[in-house]
Amino acid sequence: MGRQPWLAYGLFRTSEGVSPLVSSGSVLFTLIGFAGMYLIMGLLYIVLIVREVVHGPESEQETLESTEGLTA
Amino acid sequence: METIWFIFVALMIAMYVLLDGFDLGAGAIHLFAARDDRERRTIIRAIGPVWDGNEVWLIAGGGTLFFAFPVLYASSFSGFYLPLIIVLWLLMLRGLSVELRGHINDPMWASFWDAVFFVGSSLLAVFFGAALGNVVRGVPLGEDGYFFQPLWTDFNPFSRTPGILDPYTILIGLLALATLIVHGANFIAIKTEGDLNARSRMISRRFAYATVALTALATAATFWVSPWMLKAFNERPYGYVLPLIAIGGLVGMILFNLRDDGRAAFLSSGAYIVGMLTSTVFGVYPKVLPAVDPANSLTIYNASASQYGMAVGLVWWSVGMVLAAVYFIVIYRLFRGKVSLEDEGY
Repeated sequence: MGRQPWLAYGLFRTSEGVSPLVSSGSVLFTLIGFAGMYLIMGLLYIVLIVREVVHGPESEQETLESTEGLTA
Repeated sequence: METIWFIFVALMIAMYVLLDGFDLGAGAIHLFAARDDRERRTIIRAIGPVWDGNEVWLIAGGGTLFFAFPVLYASSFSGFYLPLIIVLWLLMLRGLSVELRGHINDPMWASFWDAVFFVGSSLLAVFFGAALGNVVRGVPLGEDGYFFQPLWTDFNPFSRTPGILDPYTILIGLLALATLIVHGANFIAIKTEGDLNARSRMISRRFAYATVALTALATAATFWVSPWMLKAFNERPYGYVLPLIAIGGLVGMILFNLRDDGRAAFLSSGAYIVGMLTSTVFGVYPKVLPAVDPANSLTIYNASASQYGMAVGLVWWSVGMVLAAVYFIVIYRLFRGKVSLEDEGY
C-alpha cells in the first residue's frame, strides 16, 4: 500500500493526492479538534476504569440480590 | 450503468436518513418527551440496539460514492471539508453520550450526557439538511472540478461564492430537523407506553404541522433558488409520482397521529422522507453536484468510475446488500415491540 512519498506505492504520490483547496489552517484546526476530543476520551476512559477497579467486583451475595431485583 | 449507480447511491442515502433519522429525531426530543431519568433511559434503550447499525448506512453510502463516482467523492469531500469534520465530531459526541451516560450513577453526569446527546442529534439533523440544500443550490465548482466552501460568506444564496450556511440552506436544515423530530417521535411512540407515548405523539403532531409549513416554504424557495429543478419534472412527467408520495406521507403522518395508529404514522413519516429525497435527486439528475457556473457541474458521466469497475461492482454490491438486508430484518425482529426497563438489557 502506501509509504511516504507514495499513497499507492509506485503509482500515486502524496503530493498528487492532496486536496488542492483545503488550506493548512483548516487542517490544523481540525487536527487540534481531533486531538482534543481524543484526549478527553482518553481521560474519561482512565477515570471510568479507575472507578471500576476501586469499586471492585460485586460479592456473590450482592449479585444474587441484584438478579432477584430484576426478576421481581 | 451510470444511472443504475446513481439510483443505488440515492437509495443508500435515503435508507440512511430513514433509519438514522428516527434515532437522531429521538435524540432531539428526548429532553422534552422524557421527564425523568427512567423515561430518558427508556428512550435510549429504544434506539440502543439499532442506532449504530443505522449509522453504518452513511459510511456504506460514502463508500459506494467513492467506488461509483470517485471524482464526485474527491471534489465534495474536500469542498465540504469543514462541515464534514463537524458532522464527524457531532457523531462522535452523540455516540459517546449514549455509551457513557450509564457508567456513573450520578444526576449531574447523566444530565451532562443528555445535553450532549440532544445538541449532537439536533445539530446533525440541521447539518444534513443544510448539506442537501447546498447540493440543490449549487456549489462554486471550478473548471478543474474542485471547490472549497467556508462555513458562511455573504449569506446570499445567489452569490458567486456561496457559503455552507445561507438563508436557503438553513431553511432546508430546519425542515430536516422538524421532519426528523416527527419521525423520531413516531418511533418512540411505537416503542413506549403511558406518559412517554402520549408526549411523543403530541410532539409528533405539533412538529407535523411545522413540517407542512416548512415544506411549502422550502419547495417555493427551491424553485426560486434553482429554477432548473422543474425542468426534469416537465421532461419526464412520471417523476411527479415522487412528490405525490411525499404529500401522501405528509397527510398520513397527521391523519394517523390523530387516529392513534402509531405504526401507520411512522410509515407515513418514512414515506414523506423517501418522497422528498427521491424528488430532489430526480430533479438534480443527471447532475450529481450542480455548480454555480452550470458548465462546471459534475454529472453522472464526468464523475463516474470506469465501465468495467461499475459492472464488477454491481455483483459485489448486490451480495453485500443481501447480507445487510438480512441483518437488519433479524435485528429489528429481535427487538420488536415495546421496550421496558424491567427486562434484562441487551
